[in-house]
Amino acid sequence: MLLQQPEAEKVFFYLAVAVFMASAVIAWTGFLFNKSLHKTLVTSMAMAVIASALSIGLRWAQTGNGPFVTLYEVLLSNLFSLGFIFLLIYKVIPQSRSAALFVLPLLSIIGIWAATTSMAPIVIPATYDTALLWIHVAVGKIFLGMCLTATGLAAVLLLRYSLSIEGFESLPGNSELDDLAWRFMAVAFVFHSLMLIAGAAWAQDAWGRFWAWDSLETWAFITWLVLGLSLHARVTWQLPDWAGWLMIISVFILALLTFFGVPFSSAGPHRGII
Amino acid sequence: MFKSTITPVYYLSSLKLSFAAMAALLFAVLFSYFEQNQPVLWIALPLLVLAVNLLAAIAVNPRIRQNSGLLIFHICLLALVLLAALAQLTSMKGRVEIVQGQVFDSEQVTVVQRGPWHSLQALKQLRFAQGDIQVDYTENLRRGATRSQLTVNGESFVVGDNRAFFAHGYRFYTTSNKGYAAMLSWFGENGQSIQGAIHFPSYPLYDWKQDNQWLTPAGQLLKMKLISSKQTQPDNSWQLDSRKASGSLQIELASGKQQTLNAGQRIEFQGGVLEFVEVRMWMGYSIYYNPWLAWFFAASIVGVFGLAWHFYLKLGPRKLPLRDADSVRSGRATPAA
Repeated sequence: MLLQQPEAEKVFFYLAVAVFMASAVIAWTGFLFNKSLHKTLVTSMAMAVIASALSIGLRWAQTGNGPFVTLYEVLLSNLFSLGFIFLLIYKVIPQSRSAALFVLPLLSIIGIWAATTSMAPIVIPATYDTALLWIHVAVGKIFLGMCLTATGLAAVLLLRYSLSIEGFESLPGNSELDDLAWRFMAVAFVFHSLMLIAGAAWAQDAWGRFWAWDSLETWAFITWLVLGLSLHARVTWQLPDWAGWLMIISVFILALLTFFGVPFSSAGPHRGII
Repeated sequence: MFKSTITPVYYLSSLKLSFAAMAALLFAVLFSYFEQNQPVLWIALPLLVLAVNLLAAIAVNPRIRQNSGLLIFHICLLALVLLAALAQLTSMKGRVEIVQGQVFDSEQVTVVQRGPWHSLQALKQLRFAQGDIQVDYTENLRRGATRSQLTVNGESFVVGDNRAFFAHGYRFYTTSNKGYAAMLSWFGENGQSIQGAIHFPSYPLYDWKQDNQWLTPAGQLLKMKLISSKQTQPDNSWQLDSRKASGSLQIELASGKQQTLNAGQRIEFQGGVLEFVEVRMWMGYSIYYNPWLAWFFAASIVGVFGLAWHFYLKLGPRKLPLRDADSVRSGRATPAA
C-alpha cells in the first residue's frame, strides 16, 4: 500500500538524516582505518541528497509552497542544498574530500535539529511570491555550501595542527588545504554579496525599503563584514595559519546564526503579520 | 614637496587602516544592534574613514590599480558609500492612510524622515484616488495577498505586496495597516457643512478596540465605537473586502449616554447635526523616495562582478594537481609533500 503523502515525506526525511549520519561514519571509518571507501561515500551521500529532495518535493506537492518559511523547512532545504553542493565539490575537487570528516557530521546535526522542530506547514506570506526570493535563496545556499566546505577543511587543518593522528599524514599538505579553504571563502564572499543584493532588492519591493537594519539584515551584514575582514587580514598580515582557520570557522558560525537562528527568534522579519 | 603630499595618502591607503575601519564598523553595528540606537549615527564615522581609505587606496595602491576587477570592486564600494550619503540628503520616508473613494492629499502624509535636500513639491502634485481594498486571510489570521485598487487620471490598477505605486519618484507600498472608517457629515447651525472620515484602529489586529473620538466644530468631544459586521473567521480562510464593509456607529455623549446610528441616520447636537453616512475601509501606505535606488543596484552588481572577475583571474584558472582516482580514498588524497 502506498504511504500517505505526509508520512512519505517524513520517511524520506528520516531516511536522509540516517544516511547522512551513515555517510559521516563511513568518512571517519575510511580515515581512521585507512580504507578506500570513496565510492561508497559518494553513493551514500547521493542517496541522502535524493531522499532529502524527495521529502522536499512531497511536502511541496502537499502544501503548494516551497521550503522557505518554517525552521523545519529551512533546515530541510539546507540539508538538501548543502549535501548537494558538497557532493558536487567532493566529486569535482578531490583535494577537498577530507572536509567530509566534518561536513557530514555537521549535516547530520542539521538533520537531527530539523527532526526536533515542528513539521507543521504554515502559509507562505504574499511577499514571498517573487522571483527575487529564488535568486536570494539560491545564492545564499551557494554561499553557505562554500563556507561549509571551507570550514570542513579548516577543521581538518586545526585538528591536524593540534593532534598528531597518524591518518592525517596521508591527507594533502597544509598549504594545499589552506589555499583551497580560502578559495572557497573567496567564492563564498562573492555569493554572500549577491545574497545581500538580491535580499535588498526583494525588501525594497516587499516592504518599501532595501535596508532597515532589522535583525536578519544586521547579522547578514555582520557575517559579510567578518568574511571581508578575514580575507583582508589574510592579505594584510602574515597571520599564523591557525588564526586563519579559526576565522573561517567563525564566519561559518556567524552564517549559521544568521541563517537558522535570527529569522526564527522573532516573528517580524520575513513573515506576514496581520 | 611631492613626497610630503604623497606620504599621507600612502598612510591613508594602508590596508591596516582598512582593517581597523572595518573592525570599527563591525563594533559600531554590533553596538547599535544591542543598544537599539539609530545605526546611522554610529556607523557614519567608520564609513567615512573607509571611504577616505578606499579613495586613497584607489589612487595609490598598485595592487588595486593593476587589477581591473579589484579596482572596479573598490570603486563600486566607494560609490556605495557616496550613494548612501546622497540618499541621506535627498530621500524621504513617510506614511499615509487613504480612505476608499478619497483622493490622496499630501497634507495627510506623516513624514518619518526627510533629507535636507528633499523638497515635498513633487508630492504635493500627486493625484490618485483610493478604490476597493481586498486582503486575503487564512486560518489563525495569517495575512495573504493584498489588493488595493488605485485610480490615476481615470486609469485603474491594483497594487499590493510586491507591487508598489510609483509616481513622480515616490513609491507607495501597501502595509499591514488598514481598517475601517466611519464617513461622517456635519451640518452646522451656521450653515457650515463638512464631510470627513474617522479612521478606526488597524483591522483585524485591533478588532477588539474599534474606538476613536472626534471634536465636533461645535466643541463636543464624541467617543465613537464602530460595530462593524464581522468579517473575521479565525479558523478559516476569509477575505477582508471593502465592498462588504458595513456596520453601525455607537456614540457616547458627554453625559455618558450612548446612541447607536445606522448608515444614513442623524443625531442632533447643540450647534449642529451629525450624519453617519456609511462605513468604508482605509489603506495605510508607506511612502519612499530615493532617486538613487537604480544607482545603488548598479554599483552593487558591477562591484560584485568586478570582485568575481578578480577572484577568477587570481584563483580560478590554476589547475589543482590531478590524482589517480583509485589513489583518492575516502576523506584523503595523496600524501602531503
